[in-house]
Amino acid sequence: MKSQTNHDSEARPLPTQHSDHHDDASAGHAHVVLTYQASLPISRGKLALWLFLSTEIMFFAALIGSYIVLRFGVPEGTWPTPDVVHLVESVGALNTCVLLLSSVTVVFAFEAAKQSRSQLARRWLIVTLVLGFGFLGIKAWEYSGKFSHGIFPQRPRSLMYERADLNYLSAVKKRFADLVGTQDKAASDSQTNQVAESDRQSFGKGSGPSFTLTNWEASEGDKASDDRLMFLREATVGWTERRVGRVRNPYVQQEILDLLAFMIYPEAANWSYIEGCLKRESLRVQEEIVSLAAQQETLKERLAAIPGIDSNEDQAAALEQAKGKVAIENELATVALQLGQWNNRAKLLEEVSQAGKGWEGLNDRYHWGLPMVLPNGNTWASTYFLLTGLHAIHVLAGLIAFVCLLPTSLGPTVAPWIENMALYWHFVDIVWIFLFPLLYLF
Amino acid sequence: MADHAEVDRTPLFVGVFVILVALTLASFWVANAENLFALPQTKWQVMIGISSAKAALVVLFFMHFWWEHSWKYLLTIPTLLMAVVLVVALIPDILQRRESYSDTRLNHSAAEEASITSK
Repeated sequence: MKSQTNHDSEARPLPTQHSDHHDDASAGHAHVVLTYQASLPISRGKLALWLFLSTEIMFFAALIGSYIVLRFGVPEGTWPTPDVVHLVESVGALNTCVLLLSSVTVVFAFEAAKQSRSQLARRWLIVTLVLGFGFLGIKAWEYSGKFSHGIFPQRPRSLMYERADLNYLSAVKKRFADLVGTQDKAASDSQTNQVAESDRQSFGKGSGPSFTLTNWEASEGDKASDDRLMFLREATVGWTERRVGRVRNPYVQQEILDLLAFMIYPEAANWSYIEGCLKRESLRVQEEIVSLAAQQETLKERLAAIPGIDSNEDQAAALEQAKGKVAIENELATVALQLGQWNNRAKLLEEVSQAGKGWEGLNDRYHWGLPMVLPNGNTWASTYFLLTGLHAIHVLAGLIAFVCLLPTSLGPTVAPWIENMALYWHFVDIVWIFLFPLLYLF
Repeated sequence: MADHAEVDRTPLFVGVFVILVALTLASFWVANAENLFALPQTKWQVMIGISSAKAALVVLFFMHFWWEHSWKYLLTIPTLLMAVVLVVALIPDILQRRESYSDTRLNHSAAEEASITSK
């Protein structure tokens, strides 16, 4: 500051016995002694604002520092990339430019106010307001994108799980149960019973459910959507639960759980690993189907080999024969049921393998809100919403201040106010300048 | 407040804005360019460097620091020093994070990329 024209003078007349009569110290009488308290050569408002900004710098430094520890403290390669959490980098860049532009317009408003061009100042202030609200609007749109994918700062609304384990499996099972419950309410009871009954019958016949992947893709309506839900519930979580309970090899257990997570939400998966899992799983399923079919044939042969009950034989032998026949029939029904389940699994695996890397996942396809595996997703969401949320609150506070300035004269007397608010606004801009690469680009 | 109010600084502010937008695009490009840097760390450093340059431009021109007297150092240098020291002081916690991991913490941390291949 080269001129001393606008800062508040700290001069205060010291009370003297003549001070009541001689106010003017320059009038030749040295009765009033003016003393100056040393201060910074800026207005007190500006000084206060700068001190406030100093505390804000510390506040955001602590926040960003904590974020850096959380972000870089995770094992390498496990922090969610922007596409995994539906963060669009170009939208972040656009918002950066919107905020930068609003910084220029507020500077113009200040310059215009200094030159007593209040109308121009008002116009620039309105442009700043529009840009500021635009920034918040884009932010809100980004937030809604996260929410629609089940990305929330915390449970119970957050659907993110760290890893595919039994805890995750039970969460998926519960969500499917809720979905079936909702559909039960929506559909009439008789219709739902019919679905369940047809399931049971078709499993019993060993042909698998009557619906196939091709027809549940194409068909519409309640019945088709029920069928689809029942089929996918059985082929994903139902199947996984049974298999994980029986398989002894922990690696295979993990593969099956990872496949479940991939089928629901493939974004965070490591494709080369999943590709291997899919191949091995298909192989296992095919082997089992062949073995079950062979078992079915043997049982059928054994059943055919049992001679008809001869009325001439003694009753005890006939009873034994009948018991044996029933036992084989039961076994046959069990094998047929299992075969139906394995065939369903094979169908789903084929569908997923064909889609390959482009598999969109059940959550994106049907919006069922199933729990999803996203390593560090919860930490990401907590830090993202905290940092951007606190920044957005600062933006909102700045906008409120501008709205309060708008009805004033916006001339040279208000210019220091505009300047102070503008300094705050630029600071908010600087915070975003650092948040943008840290949150969107790293 | 800056003096020389009569000087029209509009072209300067517009120029600074254009540079700021260019720098934003530059960090966007650095983040997305393939094989530009061997290490992601280098990329991060470049992006933070660009952000610092942008912040410096905003402070110098939009916040009028270029024209202010030396009080600006009194208010900003101690604050910036503490802010930077705070962030830098946290870095060893990242670098040495594995040294003091308990089994519980390790078991409950997010998994590294799966590389298990077995039937």
